[in-house]
Amino acid sequence: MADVLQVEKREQLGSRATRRLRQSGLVPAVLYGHGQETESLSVSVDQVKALLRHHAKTVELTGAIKDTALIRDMQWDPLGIDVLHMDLMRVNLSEKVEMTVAIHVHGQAIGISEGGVLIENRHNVDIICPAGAIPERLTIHVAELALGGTMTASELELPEGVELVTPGDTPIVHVEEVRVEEPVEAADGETAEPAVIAKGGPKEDEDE
Amino acid sequence: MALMPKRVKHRKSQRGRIKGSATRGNTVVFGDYGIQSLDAGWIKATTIEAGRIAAQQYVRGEGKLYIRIFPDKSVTSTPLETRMGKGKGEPDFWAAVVKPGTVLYELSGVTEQQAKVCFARLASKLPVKVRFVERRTA
Repeated sequence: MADVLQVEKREQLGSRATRRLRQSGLVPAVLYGHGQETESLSVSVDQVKALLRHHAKTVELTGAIKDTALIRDMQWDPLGIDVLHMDLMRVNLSEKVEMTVAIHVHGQAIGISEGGVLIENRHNVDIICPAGAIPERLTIHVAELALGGTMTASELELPEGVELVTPGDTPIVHVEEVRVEEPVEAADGETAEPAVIAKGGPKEDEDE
Repeated sequence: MALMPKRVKHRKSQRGRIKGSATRGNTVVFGDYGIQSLDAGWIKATTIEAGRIAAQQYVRGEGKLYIRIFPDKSVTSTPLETRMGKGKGEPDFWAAVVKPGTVLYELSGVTEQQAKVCFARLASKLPVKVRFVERRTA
């Protein structure tokens, strides 16, 4: 079931008004799609945090606008703590949309007990599915994965109605041997200087 | 060899000023957990290496550590008891310029609890305040 989002229309636009809006505990948002007018909205910060906790993909809009929307994008502050802005796209829950979905690695690979380490090559994949049935995550079972083995996108467990957009041969996880890196030696005097790219030629000598 | 560039255009660089927050390299990309700088500063190549050793001794044989910063700035110094003048000093060490928000190290293949303990050990080596961060799900 989609989360319910109480939205208000935003009359004042621009960076100054938006900054004041954020200070008052609201998050600016925009609603677009289906060839209709673009609307500038505001949502309370608590509701946005709830959406993030629930990993919501689609929302039911109430308040100033009643519609169903897909969360298309979120902008974060540089430290990744606060949501600065949210993009909402109008959708019918039956229409097919392209989404990026997280991958959940399930099980303990055999290769780990053989002395390997499980490396995730990709953390998400692109899929096409009905907007009302977007999976929260796709599972890959790695229990049979041995040392040196690789599992690809085609081995993901896809729910009904979900098509994979990412090529099926894309590696998702593999188990490799643990590489213990030797500590680097301390720099010793003049030998520890990088080569200087000479002006106007491929010469790589550092003498000046 | 210590961490430093293989080739450079100029041996010496000006000190510069660190302004603003990181807009790139500020999310966890490779691993599951990361350590994010909350201050601006220079992190020496030797400090990066000390952090790597501290972390790898803890996760040995289990997880994989990713270093997200590279010391590409040369810092010069003049010898002690030298008179003023005679030009800029010789390169002394290499440092990575870090802004608030920069993800310094990442870890994968370990539990959240292990990652927290590991990064706590690593954080004690660093000259900047840091916080523990997780990868944002799609």
